[in-house]
Amino acid sequence: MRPSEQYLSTNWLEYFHLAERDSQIAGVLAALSRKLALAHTGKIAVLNVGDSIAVCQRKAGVNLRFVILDDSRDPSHTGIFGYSEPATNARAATLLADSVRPADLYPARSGPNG
Amino acid sequence: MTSQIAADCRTVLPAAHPVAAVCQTLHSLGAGDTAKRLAYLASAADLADGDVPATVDSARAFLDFFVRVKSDAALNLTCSPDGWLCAEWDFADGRSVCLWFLDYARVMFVAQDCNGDFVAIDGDSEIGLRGELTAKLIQAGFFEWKTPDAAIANSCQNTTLPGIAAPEPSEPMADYHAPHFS
Repeated sequence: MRPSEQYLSTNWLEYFHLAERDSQIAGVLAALSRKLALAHTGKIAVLNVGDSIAVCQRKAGVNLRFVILDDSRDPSHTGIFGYSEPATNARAATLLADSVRPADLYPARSGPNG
Repeated sequence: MTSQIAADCRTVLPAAHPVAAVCQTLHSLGAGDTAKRLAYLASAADLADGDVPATVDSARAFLDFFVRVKSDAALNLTCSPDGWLCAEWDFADGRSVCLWFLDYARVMFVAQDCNGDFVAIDGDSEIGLRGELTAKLIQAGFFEWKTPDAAIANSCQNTTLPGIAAPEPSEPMADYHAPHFS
């Protein structure tokens, strides 16, 4: 997260009310494509909210909050709050990255699973 | 193979780009894959909106660290949206060290033991001066100083220490404490 930012932008998968993960990711990519261009090599990582909160609390003493943002352009837009302080930024970012399973990474450009 | 890697570096980064010299030094040290990866991260070829390529100072700081320590861990380079080069070393026993080179002098870092618990390298701090942090990471057993052989080998190529083979940094090296080889 950049030093000037208060939260890490994320998207709420269940907002789309779609059963299949690939369809949920497609919904996220469609929402993001209306706001920004992603790198060809970019990835969409799926996090579990409960697991993320638990591991950051246990290993870094960081209390994360996942908040639904009031974004009319993208109602699925959410933010991870609670780790913008320099003293916790790197540790929380590392834990979040480590908690993503390889199977839960999706290409940001070419659609779900390539 | 190595000439192919050098050619790949030139493909993504013009020779006049300041980071190209860093890549060339890495290449000459036998780290062709790392050079190729750095060239890609310093290029503007594939950026998301608002992101910037790896900065010159960040790349030079990484090189300066890279040439002074050795490790058998797997190295992976990435880049933050602000152009901070991020180097992650993953050890076979599960330990890891992740360094974000914020500029030429400052480094943000995390180190984890084989259980994934954070190691206090510098108290609770996550940002330190590169020179001091290098010594602390070595003291903690994550890296070793490179032997003098590395510098001697490089001097055969009409350079001095590998770390100053790249162009001069834009900031003074006031924080750097040179290792003493015995």
